[in-house]
Amino acid sequence: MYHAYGLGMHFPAQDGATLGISGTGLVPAYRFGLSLNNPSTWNRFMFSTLSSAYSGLRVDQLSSSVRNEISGLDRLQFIIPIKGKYGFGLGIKPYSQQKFSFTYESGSMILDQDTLTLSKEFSGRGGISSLYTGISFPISEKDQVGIKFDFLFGSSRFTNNLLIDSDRFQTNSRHFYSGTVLNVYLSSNRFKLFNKEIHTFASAGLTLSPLTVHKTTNQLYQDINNNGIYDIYDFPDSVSEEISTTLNAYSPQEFGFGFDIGITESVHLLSEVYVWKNGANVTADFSILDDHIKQWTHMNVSLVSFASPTPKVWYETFHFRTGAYTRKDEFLNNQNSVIELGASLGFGINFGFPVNQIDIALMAGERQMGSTKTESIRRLTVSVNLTDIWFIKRRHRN
Amino acid sequence: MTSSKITPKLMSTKRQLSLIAILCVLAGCIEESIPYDLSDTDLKLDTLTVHSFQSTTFQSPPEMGTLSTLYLGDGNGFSNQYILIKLSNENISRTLAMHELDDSNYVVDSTFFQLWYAADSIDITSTFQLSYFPNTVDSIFSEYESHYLNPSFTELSAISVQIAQTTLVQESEDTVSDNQAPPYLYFPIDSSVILAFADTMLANYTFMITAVDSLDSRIGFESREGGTTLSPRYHLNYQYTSTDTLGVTTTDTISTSFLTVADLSFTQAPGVVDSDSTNLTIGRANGFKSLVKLDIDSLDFPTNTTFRKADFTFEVEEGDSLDGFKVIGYPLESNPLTFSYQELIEDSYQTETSYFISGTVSGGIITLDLKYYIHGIMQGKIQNYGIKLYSSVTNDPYQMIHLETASPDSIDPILKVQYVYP
Repeated sequence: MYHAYGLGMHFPAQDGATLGISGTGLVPAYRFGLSLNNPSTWNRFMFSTLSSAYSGLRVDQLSSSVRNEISGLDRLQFIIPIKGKYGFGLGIKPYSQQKFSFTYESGSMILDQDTLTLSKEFSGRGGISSLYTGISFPISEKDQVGIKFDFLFGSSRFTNNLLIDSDRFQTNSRHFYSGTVLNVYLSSNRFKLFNKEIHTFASAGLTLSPLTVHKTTNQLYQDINNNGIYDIYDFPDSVSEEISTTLNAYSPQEFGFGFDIGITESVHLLSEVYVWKNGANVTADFSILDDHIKQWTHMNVSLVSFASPTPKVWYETFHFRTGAYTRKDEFLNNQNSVIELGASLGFGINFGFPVNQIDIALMAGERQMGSTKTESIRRLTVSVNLTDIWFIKRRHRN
Repeated sequence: MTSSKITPKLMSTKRQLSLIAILCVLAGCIEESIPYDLSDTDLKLDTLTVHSFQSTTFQSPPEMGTLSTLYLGDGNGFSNQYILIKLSNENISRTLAMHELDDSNYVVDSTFFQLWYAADSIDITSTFQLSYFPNTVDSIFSEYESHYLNPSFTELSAISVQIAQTTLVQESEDTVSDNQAPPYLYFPIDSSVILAFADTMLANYTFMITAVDSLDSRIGFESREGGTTLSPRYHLNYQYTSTDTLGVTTTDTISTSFLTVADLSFTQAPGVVDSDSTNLTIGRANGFKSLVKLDIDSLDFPTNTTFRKADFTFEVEEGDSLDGFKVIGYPLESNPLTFSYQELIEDSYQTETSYFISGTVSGGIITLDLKYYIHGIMQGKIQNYGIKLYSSVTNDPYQMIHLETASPDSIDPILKVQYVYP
């Protein structure tokens, strides 16, 4: 149902390592000091890394036996460390997703002595995608900065239907999106607690070019041949198309803070707080539910046992991760917030040379709106990270 | 750590894994509905009714074009005095034009005109007359516009030249196929007629068929609308002489026929009775058509409304005895001058060529579908000047229907509109 609010559901792109700690990607869980999602750590990568993630999400409605499932490729990303000092990354990922289908049974009504059965169907699919690029560089011996640009693009299609007996009346609309978001990341290891180094991470994001939505809507028509599209068989014989543009439709602001404390050399305690806020308030008008998510806040506490960089026994090639999180979604119009509580478990395996890695994580949680538990969620992510020393001159063997 | 440790096998594994990762864009989804109150969302259904309208009937000379039968004879007060048939100026295979027969290479052996009777067997002994119009340059008639006043039988008699007379004949039964061909009129034609048709100055190619003695009942012949097989036709047997480059002359004997491009029977209707003028009366051979103008100009529908139904319902005076009778109509191009009964010498009410309206009698009720018409008005594509209603060519043209408009015993005519709006 979240997908039907505003321009869809925005969530951090969770690779297998990030999901394993229930995080947003700000604190490093991929390897010690490294996060695929935090550009300020990219200059610490030793090898160029091509990573992709595949996720499956299952949502069960607790008040009924309804189950929704969605799965697909979450992202594709390429990170290149440059001379051990700088980092550059490029990738593509979904920024917000819309995939919903509602049916509303209006029951029967008597009209002109005819008993009519009415129902409504609303569906939408698509969303905003992000083509992003980022760089990282040190600003001091202990501080690194990362800058990331998300170039937002994509489209969504929506269909509204009213079914009167077998007669289908339909309007179709399509949104085309464009905008740019800038995120700045900072990581530092200048702080200490009880003689233990604390790695701190912060991020802030704002829109460089607020999202513009170009909307085209077909005039209402009767889909006489029930094929879901307007054609020569439908009534009326021509329909006009209404075009509108909404500027500043979406103006996200993001703030994040996290830390990483090494309990032992390999076991670390991680935590982060992330706030995402939409500064614009017009996208509720795009939603059939007449609302949008105004703000979400994510907090998590996690433990990670990183694999040894020089493993001597087989289990030292494994990363073990666990975490617990809470997420709160607040709406523009609905006064009830949605609280999500959950925990996750994951592991990663290093293999091959230089050091490739597969991360698998499972997250389970529950959502409640007001005092009512509404949904149970399960998420499984598998990510594959292939490393190599691309773009480095190799010495020829004689 | 050096690159020398990267083996080809390892690189190959990496490439395969990369490929798998990139191609792994498989997306699966199971969707089920979520309970949510969407009662107040977009797309709503509403309805309205309209009782107020103006209407009238008018009578004009019957338009009998495009019917599948050509009529001759009198009956039930109707008079069908003559039939006009216009031939194509090209033969059926489009290899010979009528004017080419003027060429000396063509020698006509024999010609005849054939008109099929619209019955299985010969039931009359009447004699029929075939005439043509060799001294008239212009077209004699229009299938869609001509009627018994224009051209009248008197006018045509003055300019026609008789060709031949004949009675109905019928081939003997085909014992192999067990099929009996219908009777027909066979008019042998003199080659002088062909020479007249071959004259490029003569463009009417028209025959007239009449009964020599008046017929006391109405009979029918197949028209071109009945299909090519039994369409009226002009047969021609001729020789064509050609000479090649070596001077060798060849003569071929060829049979061909010229089909009909227009045919029309001319009907004069009987007089009018009270019920014809007080109700909305529709009948082709009677020349009755009706005009209806609904009071819908003040209706205000929400933006982007589309219509589910716009049914205009009348009770039929004849009850269910005329079930299946089809009424058709088109929007008028201008406001009628009056909504009182009129007898016109010409139907001057011009109509649009789109926004077709139709309805068929069922259970003594007829419902006209005005969905496209009302949508056209609401879209501003046409004006609400009214509708002209007339009998479909699929009906028996000699049937007529009375739509009740103000009878105390009948249901009042009513327009019921169901519309959907965002």
